Amino acid sequence: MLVITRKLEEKITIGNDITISVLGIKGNHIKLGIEAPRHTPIYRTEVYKSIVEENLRAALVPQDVSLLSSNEQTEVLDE
Amino acid sequence: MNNRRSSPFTVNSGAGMLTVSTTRFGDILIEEDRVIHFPEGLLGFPDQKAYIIQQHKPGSSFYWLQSVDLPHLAFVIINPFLGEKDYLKELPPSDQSYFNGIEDGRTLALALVTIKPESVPPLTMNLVGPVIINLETRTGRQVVLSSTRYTCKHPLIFSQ
Repeated sequence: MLVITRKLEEKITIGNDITISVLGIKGNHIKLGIEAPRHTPIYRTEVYKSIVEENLRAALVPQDVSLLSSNEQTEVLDE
Repeated sequence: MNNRRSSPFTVNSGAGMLTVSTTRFGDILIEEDRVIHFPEGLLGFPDQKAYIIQQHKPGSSFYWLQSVDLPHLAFVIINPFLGEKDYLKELPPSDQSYFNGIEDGRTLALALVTIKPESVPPLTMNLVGPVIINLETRTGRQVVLSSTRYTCKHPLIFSQ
């Protein structure tokens, strides 16, 4: 891992089109500004990881899916 | 946009039809234009870029998001508003913008469902990473909401 020390209002440029700025420091909170192309996905890492993990769990559908039938009569998805 | 990767599990059956091999449902013959393309895949599944949607059973609220390329990869999905009718209202405008077009049917929002028979409740849905499908371009992506209002294990309980 590359480690770089930055002061308030200093920036880091990654590649040609991503810039990260240190906008504020308050106690152990650091406010970052990220400039990146519109379609670059930017995630809070713990949220990203939790979704990846939940997707992996969701992909493990049990062979018996009778649980899905318990609400059959209750609602219908509008198509 | 016809750059779909060919797969040993799909056969072009002519006349715009495609046979999708699946572990759970056997072979599914489907119109090619019903395939939904995910240029970025789903999170954790970056290489699976094409899916089809099948209803679980007639009248069911549940659907399947079946990979076209991996026979054993299929997710249970649901309209998130069935389990959480205030979902959109609870989100900040920046998150709501992902759902643009939902009111006139151009956009479809889906939540992936996790089934854990031994858990209480056994069904949860992921409301942090909904799947948004543009029905005009037949493309989809899984977005990550910035709101911390919901979790990726939202209990799926039908109010009756």
